[in-house]
Amino acid sequence: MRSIFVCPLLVTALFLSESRAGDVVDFERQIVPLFAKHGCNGGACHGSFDGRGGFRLSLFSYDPRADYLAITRGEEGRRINLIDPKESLLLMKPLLKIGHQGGRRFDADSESARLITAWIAAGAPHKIGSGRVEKIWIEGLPRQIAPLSEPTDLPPFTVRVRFADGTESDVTRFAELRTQDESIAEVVSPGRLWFHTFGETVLSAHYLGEAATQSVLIPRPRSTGPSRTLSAANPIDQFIAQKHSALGVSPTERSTDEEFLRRITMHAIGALPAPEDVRRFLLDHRPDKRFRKIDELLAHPLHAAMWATKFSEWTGNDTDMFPGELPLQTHYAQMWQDWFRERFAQNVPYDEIVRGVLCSVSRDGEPVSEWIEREAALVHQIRAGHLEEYPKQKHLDLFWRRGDDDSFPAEDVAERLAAVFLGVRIQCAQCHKHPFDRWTQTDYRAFANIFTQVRHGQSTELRIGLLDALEARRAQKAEPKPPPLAKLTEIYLTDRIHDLKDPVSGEPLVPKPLGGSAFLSATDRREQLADWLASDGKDQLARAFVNRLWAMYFGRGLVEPIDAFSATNPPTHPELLEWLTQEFLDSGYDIRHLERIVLNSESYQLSSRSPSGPENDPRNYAQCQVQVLPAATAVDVLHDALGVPIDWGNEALTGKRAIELGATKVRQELVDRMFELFGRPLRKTPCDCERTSSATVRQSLFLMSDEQILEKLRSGRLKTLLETPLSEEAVIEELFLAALSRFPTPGEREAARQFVEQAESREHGFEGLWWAILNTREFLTIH
Amino acid sequence: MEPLHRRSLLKVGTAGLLGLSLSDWLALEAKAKQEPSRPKATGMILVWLSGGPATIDMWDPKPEAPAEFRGEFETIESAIPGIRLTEPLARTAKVLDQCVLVRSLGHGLPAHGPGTQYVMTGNLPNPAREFPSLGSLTAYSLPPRQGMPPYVTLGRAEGDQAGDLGAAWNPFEVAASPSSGQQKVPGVSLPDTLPVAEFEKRNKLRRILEESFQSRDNQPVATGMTGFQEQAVDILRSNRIGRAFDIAEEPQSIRDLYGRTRLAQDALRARRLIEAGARFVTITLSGFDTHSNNFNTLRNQLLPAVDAALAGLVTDLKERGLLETTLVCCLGEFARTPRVNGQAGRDHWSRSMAAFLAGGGLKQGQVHGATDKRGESPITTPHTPDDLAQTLLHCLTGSRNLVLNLPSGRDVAAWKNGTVIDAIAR
Repeated sequence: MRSIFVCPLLVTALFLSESRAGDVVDFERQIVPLFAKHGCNGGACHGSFDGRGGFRLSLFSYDPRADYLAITRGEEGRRINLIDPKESLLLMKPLLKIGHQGGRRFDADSESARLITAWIAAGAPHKIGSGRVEKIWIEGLPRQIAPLSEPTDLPPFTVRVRFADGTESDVTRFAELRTQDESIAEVVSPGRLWFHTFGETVLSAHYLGEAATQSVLIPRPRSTGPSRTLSAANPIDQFIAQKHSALGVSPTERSTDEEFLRRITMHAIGALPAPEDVRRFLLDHRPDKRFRKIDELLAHPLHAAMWATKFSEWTGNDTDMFPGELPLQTHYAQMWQDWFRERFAQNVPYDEIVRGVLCSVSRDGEPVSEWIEREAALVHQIRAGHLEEYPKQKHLDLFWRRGDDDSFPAEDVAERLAAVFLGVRIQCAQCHKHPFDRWTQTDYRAFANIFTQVRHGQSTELRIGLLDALEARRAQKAEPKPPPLAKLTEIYLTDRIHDLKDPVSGEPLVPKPLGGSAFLSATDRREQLADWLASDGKDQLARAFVNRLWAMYFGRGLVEPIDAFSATNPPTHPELLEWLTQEFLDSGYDIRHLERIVLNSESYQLSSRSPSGPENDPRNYAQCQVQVLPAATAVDVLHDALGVPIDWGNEALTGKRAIELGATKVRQELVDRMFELFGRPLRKTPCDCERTSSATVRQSLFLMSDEQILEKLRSGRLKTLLETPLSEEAVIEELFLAALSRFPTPGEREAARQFVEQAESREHGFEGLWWAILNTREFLTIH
Repeated sequence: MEPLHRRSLLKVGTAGLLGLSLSDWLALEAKAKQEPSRPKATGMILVWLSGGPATIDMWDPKPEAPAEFRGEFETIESAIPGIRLTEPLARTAKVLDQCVLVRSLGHGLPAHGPGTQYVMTGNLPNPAREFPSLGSLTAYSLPPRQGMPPYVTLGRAEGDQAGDLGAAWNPFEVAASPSSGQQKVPGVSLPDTLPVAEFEKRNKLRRILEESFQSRDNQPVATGMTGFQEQAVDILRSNRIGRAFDIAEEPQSIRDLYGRTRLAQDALRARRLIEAGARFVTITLSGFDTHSNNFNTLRNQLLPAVDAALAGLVTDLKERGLLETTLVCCLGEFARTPRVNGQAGRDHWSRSMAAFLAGGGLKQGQVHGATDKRGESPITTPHTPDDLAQTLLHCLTGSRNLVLNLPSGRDVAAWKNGTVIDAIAR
């Protein structure tokens, strides 16, 4: 109770002293930032599109004018009480003096409460545009701290801005401050960072929709632990080693041949090495055997399937999306997958692949009558089975088969392509300025306008062509009947373009790539985008791909999430990312070349065992990160070990592996269930966020107790092995090699032998051993 | 919450006499209201009536309406004075004083798919999101209990998935066999071919084989997996779920309480699952899409099963002292046209519908809201599925604004619209 009586006095006292000092509280500069700072205008609260409890603030303060109106006019003016400021809802709610779903946001004696009170008492003035920020930066925090031995305060920093009117100001108290990894360093009060443990993180300061970032590196003291330096196989390792030395981190040892072989095989072709592969590799004493193995696997047909699965996910090969019904849709999905697979198998330069996705019209100059007959025959053929020749087609026209004549989902396509090819998530900017990046609604719409010219459906020309064709058919009465024409659709460019409009002026926006200049030509805007990506946009195109490739092999991108390049999400190793990007560009977008560099680095070939220090910071690459299996790989690898092919039921997929599959839907119950359990992406959202990156209880339950799996465990590889004259020792060895790609340790050998001996029968004993091996974490991960 | 605020303004007069300022008074009231409310319910049973039940023939009869609205059923007095239900729900009517009816629900999606999505998730379907079901939200929000999967669906139910919350929160969909006896529940029990003694032996060996991987235990992915494996081992070893399925253990008197229909068996299993530590159990009765022959179907097949199962659940939970901690909710994706069609049927109607609730954290023995004379739309306190869902989750979690951390790393509010129905939640 006491505080209730005390605070109003205190508030008044402070307010008096403030006003005596003659400072007028500036709404945009001092009040608006409080909403972000106290989490009021986040998407989950008042910043949501519909607001919260009838009160809507602009998300992350992108629109101070709207905020001012909401505060001063909304709720019949009860949000502020000019006569008795402390009776304003704007204060009573966050102080929890009355019910507030968001709970208490600050205390009555806080500076925030004081400022709001003073501002209301001064008549709630608003100087429009006073908060326009020209520049924001962080001062006083060194990029690299001197080695520290125990948790402590780091040197204080300030956040400074220069406003549009030229005044400069220290806004540390008003900015929203946070670090990317709070386990390393945490903002404890405005301007103070508390260091928890060694490592590197990024401090970001958000103020009125603008952001400044700075990375902070806190090295470990030199003395602890034996130090090791990464040997440099290529420049990648130099960049990684530089960071190690700056951090005082000592990397773990090189992977064993067994570890390496298993990891590279799983990564490159989504399979387990067979026991004889492991044996052969261990017996190979040529110094360049790893180099050779990498080349061999990169040329393997399944390697292209691996990429095709990735690109099917990223570009949104979603079975539900295709026109028509189920078997037809499945066939389309397979053609999409195979189109990519063919390109990766041929190592087609990346820019060409991108152009192939981007620029597609169905007829491409072909006379409409000829096209109709050809397309009708094609659809007929696809209904029966996927089209083997499709990958020969120059363009992935399936990507554009969305929506209908009246609508083409230009915004969806824009979001997806921005994420896939530029590594940028622009979704946020659909409704408001991107909170962590420079993209505005105008940028978003101008980019989406690149895709408002394209349509999927029946152009007037096609419609007339179809009528003619039907007429001709009626006249001919040909036997056998040619394939039906009715529902043929095409990708075409329309001249009735409905461009998205400028959110303020209402004028249609000229199409413009993100960060580029306007497309003024009347030709296919997607062609112009492809041209832009080959010229001004090429660095970001290459950078985004390099990052995806890196993540595929290291389990995390140099920028993470992989499709979230933004001003406040800098790469962990900027120089490395730039070097790789340049190398990729110089090689003419040679994907295989880039993979060779990455895989031959010592950094990739480190062991997954922990280095001398106990801590694991995946950003440092001091050890290989344990990775859960992507769903398709999980299905394949499990079947590899069990020694049985995938049972696809009625689907015409006999002998196929899961990573070769295009469709997101499978009718066979077990495979379908495994896809669900291991988190196969549904490919419905444009960002790379549907993948599961951690294991679940359900997976463990499944592998431990599923009857079908237990049955396959008895019947496959194990049964064959037990029918050979091999000794117990040899069978134990084979099982370890088949599942874990290594020989058992003496201790494991002994435990396994005893287990088998004590079982009621030989079969029983081995079955138990095989179950135990297949349920280890070592089997279920890439490491 | 605004009405409360205005009401409290009216009380200021009295407060002033006591020497309290308005702020003080409001502060006191806010304190009482915002005291981190301890959740009352620890589990929930959802009885899903698939197809869209005619709630005018069940929970909200209109005996005074013209015959083409009233329908064929007589009404009877319930245990709440002045509240009548239709005659086929006679047993539930007798325990209605321990329940809550919400008669003023409604929404705008009279189609099975979208309606189911809406009611099951408490969020208006939106192509940009796959909203998680109430069961997934419950499993996500409450700590799991040892040896028990948190979220179980008996049979299959549309719309019970976790959506963009991630596959980890999907329900265990269990196709229960109609026979009694201890069950092997595929996916959560050891099958006959792997007896528990053998499982233990194998698991011991597995632990030995895990040792060499401990050199990776500084990585969260690796230690996380150990946790999941241990949970899985607990679930399989204890087979608490399998035992929960063994309704033969129940005395005849209890089994009679629920009736002898399939729904009754599922309801009893649901109670046993909750007792064993499950957090959310969904059971389903289908066939409510009565475009024709509505009254015979309800009278002869559907309502007797619903009546016995609900009355059985309320009575049984109460006797076991579980009603205070277990929520029961019974509804479908929408209701049916108050006007009877030419085939003695009723068609889709979502503007007004009723929900039956009981148990944990609700202010029992009341009917909330009302519809007009013909039951066509709510006339007081209209509520949407958003409000209902938030009320239920509030009873379970004590939280009014649940925030979800999606696998994409984004924090989002669980609810786009709506608020807790304070009139019925404690």
